[in-house]
Amino acid sequence: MLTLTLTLAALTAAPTPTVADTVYLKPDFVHTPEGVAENVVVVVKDGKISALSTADAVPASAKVLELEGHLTAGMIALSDQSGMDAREAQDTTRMVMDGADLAHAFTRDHSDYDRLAAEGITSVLLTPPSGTLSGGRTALVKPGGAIVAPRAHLHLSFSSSLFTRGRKPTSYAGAIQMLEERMAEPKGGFALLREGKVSALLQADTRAEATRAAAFAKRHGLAGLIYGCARVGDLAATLKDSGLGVALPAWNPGGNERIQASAQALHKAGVPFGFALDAPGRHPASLRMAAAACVRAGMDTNAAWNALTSGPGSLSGGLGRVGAIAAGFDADLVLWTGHPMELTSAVERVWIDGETVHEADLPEAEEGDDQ
Amino acid sequence: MITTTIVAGLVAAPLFSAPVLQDDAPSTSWTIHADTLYVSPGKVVEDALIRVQDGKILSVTPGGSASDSLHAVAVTAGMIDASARIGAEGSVEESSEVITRLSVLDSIDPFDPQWLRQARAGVTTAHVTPVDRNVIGGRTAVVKTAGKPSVEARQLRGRPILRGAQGSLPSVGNSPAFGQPTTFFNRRPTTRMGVEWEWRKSFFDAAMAERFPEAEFEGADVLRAVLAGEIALSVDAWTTADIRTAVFVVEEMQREGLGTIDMIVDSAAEAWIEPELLVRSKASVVLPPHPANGRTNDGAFMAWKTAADLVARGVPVALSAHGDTRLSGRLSAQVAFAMRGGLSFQDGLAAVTTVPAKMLGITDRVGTVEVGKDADLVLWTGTPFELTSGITGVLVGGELVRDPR
Amino acid sequence: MQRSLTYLAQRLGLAFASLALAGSSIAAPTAEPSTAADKYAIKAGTVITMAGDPIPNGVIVITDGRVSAVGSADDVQIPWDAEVLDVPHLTAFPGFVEACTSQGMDRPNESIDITPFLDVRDSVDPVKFFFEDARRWGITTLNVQQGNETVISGMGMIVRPRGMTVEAMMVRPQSGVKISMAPKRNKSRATQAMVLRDAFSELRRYLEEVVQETKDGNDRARREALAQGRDLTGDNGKGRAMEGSAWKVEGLEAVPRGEIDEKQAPLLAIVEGRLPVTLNCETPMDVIRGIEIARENGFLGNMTILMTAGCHKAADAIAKAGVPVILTGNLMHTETDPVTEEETETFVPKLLKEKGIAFALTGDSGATQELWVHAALCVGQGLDRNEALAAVTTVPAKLLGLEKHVGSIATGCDGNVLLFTGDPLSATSQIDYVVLEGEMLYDRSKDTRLRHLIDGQAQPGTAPAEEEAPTDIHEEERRQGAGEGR
Repeated sequence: MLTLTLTLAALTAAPTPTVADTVYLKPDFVHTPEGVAENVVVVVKDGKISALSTADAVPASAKVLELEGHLTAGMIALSDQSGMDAREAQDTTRMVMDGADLAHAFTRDHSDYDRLAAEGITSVLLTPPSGTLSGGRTALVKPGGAIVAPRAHLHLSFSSSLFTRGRKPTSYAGAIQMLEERMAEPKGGFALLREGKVSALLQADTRAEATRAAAFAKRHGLAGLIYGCARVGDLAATLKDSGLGVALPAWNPGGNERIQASAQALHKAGVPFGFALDAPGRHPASLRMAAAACVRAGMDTNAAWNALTSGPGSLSGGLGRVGAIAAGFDADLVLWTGHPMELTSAVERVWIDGETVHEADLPEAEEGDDQ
Repeated sequence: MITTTIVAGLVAAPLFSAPVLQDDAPSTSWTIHADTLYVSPGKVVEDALIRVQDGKILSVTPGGSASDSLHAVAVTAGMIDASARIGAEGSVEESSEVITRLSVLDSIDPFDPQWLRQARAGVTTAHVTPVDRNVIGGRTAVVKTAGKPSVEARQLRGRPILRGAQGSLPSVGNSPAFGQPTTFFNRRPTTRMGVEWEWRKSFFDAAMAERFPEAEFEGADVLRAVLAGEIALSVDAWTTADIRTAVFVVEEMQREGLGTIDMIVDSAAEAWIEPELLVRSKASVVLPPHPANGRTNDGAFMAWKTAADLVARGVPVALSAHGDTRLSGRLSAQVAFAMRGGLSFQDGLAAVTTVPAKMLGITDRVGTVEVGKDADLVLWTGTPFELTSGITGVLVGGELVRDPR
Repeated sequence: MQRSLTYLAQRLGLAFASLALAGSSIAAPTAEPSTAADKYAIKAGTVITMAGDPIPNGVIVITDGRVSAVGSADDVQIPWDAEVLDVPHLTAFPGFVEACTSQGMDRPNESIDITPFLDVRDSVDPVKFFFEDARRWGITTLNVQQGNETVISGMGMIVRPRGMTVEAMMVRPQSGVKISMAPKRNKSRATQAMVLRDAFSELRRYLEEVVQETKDGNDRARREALAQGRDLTGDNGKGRAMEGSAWKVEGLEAVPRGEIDEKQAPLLAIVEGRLPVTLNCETPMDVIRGIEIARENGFLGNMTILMTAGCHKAADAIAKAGVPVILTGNLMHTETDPVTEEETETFVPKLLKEKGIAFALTGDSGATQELWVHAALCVGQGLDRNEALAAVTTVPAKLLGLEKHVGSIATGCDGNVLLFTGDPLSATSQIDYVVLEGEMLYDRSKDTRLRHLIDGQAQPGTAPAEEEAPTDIHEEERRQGAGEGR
């Protein structure tokens, strides 16, 4: 287990490139959405990936960082509560809180984020709790402080978890009616949704709920993603048609078969998808396990890896900025000791916006174990 | 993907699988040979050959058999449960005691494994109602129990029905507020009397709002449509007191010139006590499952003769299993129990096919084994409804959900 | 009123007298007949004997309660002095046998874990509706056992649903005990099995101690027995070497059997294979563990497994152990795969048949107390008709060791005959008469409670059904009420 002290030590001791510098990262392997490539140099400038190059093209005077291992984009978790005060994660005082911005709940220096970074997670989508019809607007944030997208989605729930006796609504029909009323005369978050300024985060726990959510999105021409349903893969055709993406539920040691089957079906149908993490309730390491379990269940390795990077990158509100090693993207990078879909591979070093935020001194890691 | 396996004896042999994905859609065309075909109550064809194509009945001919046909000792139309009670969660909006605009359709989960169990027990069509926690709980829906897993694909558009309840159920959980109300359950009604009052008030208010537009309220138009007979009213009423109240409300509206309500009295366990009341009201009746000792919900007692008695007086009677699919409680067993109380076989068959089909306004699609109808069929090993007869095959819209082979 | 009378009387030590009193004070549809014909003959359209092919136009002659002749009307002579029930429109069938029930008792369960020293005889209540229902549904033999909330239960009893005293009902006292593998409330399966095993190791320790004490000339056990007023004459005064197929304590022959502690004696009888055991199981693992414990303690050969449908997964173990089964609850076991949601249906009677396991059906599952329903459902699911009928007649009779007495209509058997209006398994058939040991036990035409169930007529002793109210008055009231409502 990597600790905060180790991370801080790494931050100060690492040969951090200054922002103005152009750094040429030259790892053994580079992972792009298309696959794994050798002999690729990643050019980082001003916290961004300015270009992908080859070793021959690197200027002689350049500052080249020879790296052993696999360099990938940082992972992205769809649906997370890291760094949020418990109250933020449980606020169900109002059924509809479309004006609430979860960006305000973001506590940038929270230790949760160090744990995320240490596992190679460089962006998380902060999502509101279930139990409300709309819990507010999501925010895509990075450990270390940057907010990528302050108002990514408006959360809308189609889940039975919002039915509490004694409060409206107590029925699916009632919930949908309430949402329809707000779409008919949009204000606040619903106005943003209507204008396409935010997309929809549609919470649905069962296939029937997901079907209703997709139908709602279609009626109103909403873009966005459905999350919460393990068996959503059965609706792959419908979802492909709707243009919605999917956040599959977080990895669960008790049983993942349905999630894996869904991942396969979504991949085959070409529906973009990622995984929820729901840290700090779950350990950040479980995000990578979710995809690795899919690989073990027969999924294409690259597709599974994309479900942690480029897939959620486009769904999370960070399109074109996070989730891939490509020119113009943020330099959110992770260096692994081996292929990241091998669970034995460990994180060696993590950059966010070109800055090293975590470096594991692997041979000495045993010291950390003692703590 | 829902698949079902029957274990025949020792070996778990997957005899049947109903893939739901479009690319490997199951066959909906068959030929079935029945030693005895019960086309409709009173109409029997011996040694019949039924051809099913694309989910519809293509032809019914006496005599002969095809080499590739499915065989059964007896075949009836698929059964219709007029009060199926499947899927309670989120089915009723309780934020108001009178909900008229919302439909239970929005809460139906076609992926619920209950549906397949129903289908495999021979129930091919189900009337789904919102859970009875409101005085008026919203619109009901009629759906097929199998087919594509989509509510739209399974819905049968019959006559529109609004659901409500008499008796103690709607008032359960309501309480007066002492001081500041804390939930919307701090409201009326809290008694049977209050429930009745709410019924009459709703209809009167709706009728008045037509004359005084400023009194218009949400959903009043639906209540007016009920008064006009355009929307039927299904009322849950177990005891004789509640059945009376239901009938009296209808009669009162008529007397006041507000309209003629077309009523279905559901769960009318004590209908036997004052059957003439139901005859007079022209209401149709759905009976709850037969309990062994006669006692049903709400303290009501259902005599075994109830179905037979009502039928003899010309009241349309449908039977229901309230969603039970166990061997001893399923809809086919309910017919057996009603027959024990004196109901004839014909009327028993009608009570789960043609009567509910008419009640729900879906006779164009289901209820009989006639050309052009949906291929909803039940294949029996012997005389239908006898407990000694098993259901070996079921087709819903031509799709085999229980394979007789 | 009857209840309070009974309890009061019991407290005064007048239990039997009071039961008779209570009995006479209610109008039961089937009061004990005052005159019993020594010879009774039934002429039925069909006699299904369960001991051979059905006999059309059959005659059953019952002499002194036992069947003395059964056969075709052409072959069997009806004695001139016999009372004749001439019912050519009816079908005769043996009385149903209920292999294990926990109804008809004051309370079915005892909170103490190990109670074989108790006896359901002290709890069976003859005026319970349950026994009236039994008559109505043609159940003429019932094995009453304590409920399942036990480890080793009190002693069971086989009864017939007749009379107003336990003595009149008695067919066989001390018919066996129930051992439950399914845990009592708040227990785990591990503690349940531990308590059960401990009971037997405690028995062993006790026996060894008593043998040692006797060898040492210590007469504590004898003094205790005398102090408790136990009978120490005859066989009770003699010692006997320990019997049975499992463990033995040497030297037990030195201890007179009457000196064995009352709490331990029934356990010893179990280990020696002298006392039948009904093993209650709710999971396959209960079955496996139960068979293991039964084998360790010598009662495997004298055991019946009372199980729910889910236990069918242990069918191979049951077949191997050669133990018969009483199937309770649902006949169909449905299991849903948690991942694929695939449902697997297993019709358990059919599976038991295929495994060669003898099984009885029980009506004791709550949904219905009618054994015919369960037998009929078996036929509906493809079980051979005779097998299904045997599961409610001859098989339970054999499980109770009464195959020569009940479960079939054959010479020498008790004259227990049901007269159905048609096929015994048809939904529309009714039982018109029940004859128990050559006496009319039940006559449907006099069954007022059945009239209530069917027609809704008032039960005896209750207020008459609501009179048809003059509806016009009600309407007037309501019309006015409606005006106010507006």
